[in-house]
Amino acid sequence: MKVTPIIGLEVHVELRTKSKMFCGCPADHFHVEPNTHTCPVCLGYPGALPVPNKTALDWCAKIGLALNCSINPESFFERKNYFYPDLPKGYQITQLQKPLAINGFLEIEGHIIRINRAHMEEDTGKSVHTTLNGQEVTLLDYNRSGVPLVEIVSEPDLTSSQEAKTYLTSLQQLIRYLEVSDADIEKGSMRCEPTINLKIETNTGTFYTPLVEVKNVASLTGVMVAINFEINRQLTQWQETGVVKSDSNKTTRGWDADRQLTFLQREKEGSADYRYFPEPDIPPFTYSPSEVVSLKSTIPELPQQVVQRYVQLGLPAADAQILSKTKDFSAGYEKYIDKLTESKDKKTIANLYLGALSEYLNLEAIDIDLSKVNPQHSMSIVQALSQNQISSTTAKLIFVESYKTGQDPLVIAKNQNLLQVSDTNQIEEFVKMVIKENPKAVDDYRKNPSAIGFLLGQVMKVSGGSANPAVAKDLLEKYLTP
Amino acid sequence: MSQITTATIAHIAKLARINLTPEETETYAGQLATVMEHVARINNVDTTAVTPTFQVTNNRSSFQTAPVSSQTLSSQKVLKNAPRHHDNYIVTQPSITK
Amino acid sequence: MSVEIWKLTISEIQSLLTKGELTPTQYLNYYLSRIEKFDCQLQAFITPTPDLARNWVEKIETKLKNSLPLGKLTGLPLAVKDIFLTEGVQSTAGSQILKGFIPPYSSTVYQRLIDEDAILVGKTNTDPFAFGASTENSGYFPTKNPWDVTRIPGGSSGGSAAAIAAQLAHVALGTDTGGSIRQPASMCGISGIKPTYGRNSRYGITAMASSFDCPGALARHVTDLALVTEIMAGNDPLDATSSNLPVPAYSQMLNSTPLQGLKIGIPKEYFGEGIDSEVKTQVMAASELFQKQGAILSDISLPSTSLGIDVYYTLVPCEISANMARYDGVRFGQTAQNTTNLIDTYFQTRGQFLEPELKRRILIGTYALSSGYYDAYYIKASQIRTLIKQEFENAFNSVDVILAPVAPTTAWPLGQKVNDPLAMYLADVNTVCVNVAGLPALALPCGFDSQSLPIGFQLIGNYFEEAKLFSLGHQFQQLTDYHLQVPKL
Repeated sequence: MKVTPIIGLEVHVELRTKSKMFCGCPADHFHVEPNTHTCPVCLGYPGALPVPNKTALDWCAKIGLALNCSINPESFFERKNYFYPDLPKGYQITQLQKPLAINGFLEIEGHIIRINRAHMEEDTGKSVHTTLNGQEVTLLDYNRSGVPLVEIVSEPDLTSSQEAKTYLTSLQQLIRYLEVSDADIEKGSMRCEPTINLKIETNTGTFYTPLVEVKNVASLTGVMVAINFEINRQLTQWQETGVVKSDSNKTTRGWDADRQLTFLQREKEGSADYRYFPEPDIPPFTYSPSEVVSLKSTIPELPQQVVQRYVQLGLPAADAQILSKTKDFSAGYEKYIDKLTESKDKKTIANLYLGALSEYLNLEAIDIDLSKVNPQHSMSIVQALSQNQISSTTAKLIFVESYKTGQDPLVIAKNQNLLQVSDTNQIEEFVKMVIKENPKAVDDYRKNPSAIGFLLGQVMKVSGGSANPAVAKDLLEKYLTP
Repeated sequence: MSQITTATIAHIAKLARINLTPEETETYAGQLATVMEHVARINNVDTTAVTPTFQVTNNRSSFQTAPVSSQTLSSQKVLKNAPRHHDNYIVTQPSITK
Repeated sequence: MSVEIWKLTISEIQSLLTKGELTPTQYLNYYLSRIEKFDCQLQAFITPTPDLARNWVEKIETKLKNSLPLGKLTGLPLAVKDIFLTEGVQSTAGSQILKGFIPPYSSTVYQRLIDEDAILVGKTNTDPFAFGASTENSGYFPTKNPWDVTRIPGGSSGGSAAAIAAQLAHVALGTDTGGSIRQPASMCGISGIKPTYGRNSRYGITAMASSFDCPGALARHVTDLALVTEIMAGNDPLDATSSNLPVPAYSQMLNSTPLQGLKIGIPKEYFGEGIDSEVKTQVMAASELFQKQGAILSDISLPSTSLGIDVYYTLVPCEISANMARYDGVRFGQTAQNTTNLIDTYFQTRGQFLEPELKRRILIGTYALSSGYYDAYYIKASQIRTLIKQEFENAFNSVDVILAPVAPTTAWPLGQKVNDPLAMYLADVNTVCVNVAGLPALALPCGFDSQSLPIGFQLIGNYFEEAKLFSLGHQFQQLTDYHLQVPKL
């Protein structure tokens, strides 16, 4: 028996526009006093009318373009009708028949995941379930009602929970590069709903299990665990009941993070009848070819292109991936190598950037601060290394210090006595001194040449770490040879 | 177009979240049947290749221009009209899970 | 008071105010005292606002005394249909579900008039949320026709029309989604303008059918309609369907359309067998009056006219069903008590407080949009909407304006059609196609029937031809005196 998971992902992204999708209220709602960013429109008051936010539409188009979609030259909104207290009008303004962007793809690790659509819609308010004076109640806050949401729907091209995770992190990275959303899964500015079913091939035939949409997955790990749970549950269910996919047996299940399982959510009235129809309050909107070209030109170099460029530079693929993790992080690296011409120098800086400097940033839990990145520093370090003025070990320390303090690397090296001594005469003095003071070690060396390590260590010690180790080793060997 | 029965009305009223008495259900079933029978005449019109009109204006691409927050209400004004509120929230009975 | 205030136009009054021959307080009190005297009988108002009005007029008197600048509508006693939201003043939309609702914002077009120093004298009665053609569906009480208090004033802007006819206000605001300004204006013997869809902002007016609703005005004089429309109209950033076209100075263009050589289309489908013979006679007489002035009458055909009702009563309930979903008792309005959970609250609130006509139309619309019916109803009707539009556009290639009756009959007795929704709907046959197409139309009084009940006719123009309609209407009123007839109360 061969079981192949078939997974599609529906992702909602909250755009960080100034105003909401259909009204002028401020769109930001994180840690804001309830019901203070609301107006007749986003409260669904009588007589209020929606007026679309052009920036939100443009950003949706950008997301679509970054996902290789085509932009519909003319597109319109529709009403999706259902009753729920966090949906003040009793309908959500969304898109169905003519989404803004269609037919794109995202490539992840060589696998093409097709994107069916990226469309524009509005968010609902927030409900909190609690008790008041012993009574169970729902508290409603409409600050989030009307915030612009882009819905990105993939085709069911994913085949594992791991792939789903990669898809989500790549999508998140791409959206952050575009600077249109924080795309933070924990904060809720990026939400994912997987739809899963299985293809089961046995020697009696091929069977497909019914589609299941999973809601309420609030973290990346949660997505993976929920998908894996569903795969197992569906297989078991099929083995027990033999029920296969039909046009009418798609169900919705909720993810329970505490109990780590999915549970069937009660459908309100069989399948929901949303009674979609075109939104009469909002005329259609258009994107001309020249507008699309113009929008495309505002899209920055995307992560995949950045990675490719670094690989061509000669950096290992893994390093290239890390460097491209955020726009700022790669910008920091770009700034450092701005005046360097040799690719080996760019690699050296990459190692320092990904090594010592990243360690420092991670420890402090801070992001790269581009204002502290000085291309002169990298030039200075590269030059000092080539002239053996500093060792590759001390270079790490100096690089981080120069980032932190803004001081030139050579100045730091001088002040902290880190300049390497390569002058043969000086090192000879150290070598001679060490040989004289460590007869037993010399004896050990005579018996076993690999024992030179101790003596080398002593030379480094008496030189205060500044002796060029390669030169010191050569001289030791010279003087230890009878 | 199918017959409109009391069962139809009951289903539609449920979708529209309107409580109807049995008398109302019957009355509306009769009235809707009459109206929809008349309206069904649209079926006889040849509309081959006719584009539907959803907007009678020629407006296209109408976007927000009013300043941000120009219509935003104070929470005081919002809560004043709410039948039940508490601590800046609007309060309702618990909603059944979606 | 020697001057008969109700006979004067706004500009005539403004002139008297400027000259000091009339004070804003005298102007207002004329109407307030008539409201006090006659409204208990007519019930044109749900919420009269005499205290507010007196408060505002005091402010105007102060401005006047201090020679501060005043608006173009200084002191204008304005009655406003209760579906327009008026900040700080109860706005019920004629329904129990909004009883006690005091909005914290106003309708844009209402605000534009208030900004010109007009004064609100009260919120007028209406079929709930404007669903109706007789004002009998109101959740409060029916309004009586001032010409015969046993009859309907028409609807849905029945309260506004009655208020003008009985001289309880100088100008009234109304909306026309399927005839709701023109029909009550005709039944009450006054004038009403339904402008082109999108000419006036819909913001702050409870939505009935979003692609049909047209705010407009009712008054005795066409010149007053022209001035008020000039001030109300124009793009509103809060309404994405409002037109960007500049607003002509209608009040300066009242003589801009010459009658000589004017081609008037007479659509045969509007004079069919359902039309009362006395109505036909008076309307044809109106067209002949234009003819005597040099206009050319031309028979035209608008074959899809009778389908207009079916298109209208398919699409309008569909849009209604979605527009009414927000009335659930959660954020505003009345809410059912003693319910067990939230779903129960929705069902009970809407079941208890929505009037029967509201329920009826919500049910029709929900049905027509429901799964499996969308193409057969919504799409099909929208396609026929295109055909109706095209017929008008073709007609305007050969005529300059179309002339027709408004209602097939004069005002019928209260209660006569309340139990026959279809009969009520079918009476809209002469008005709905204009809304289906989104065209402008002006209703004018043109006579009386043998029971002394008013008869009206309408002039239908091409898109954004309000100036032409006002000019023709103004010239008609200079040749006739129907608009100066008043009921005996």
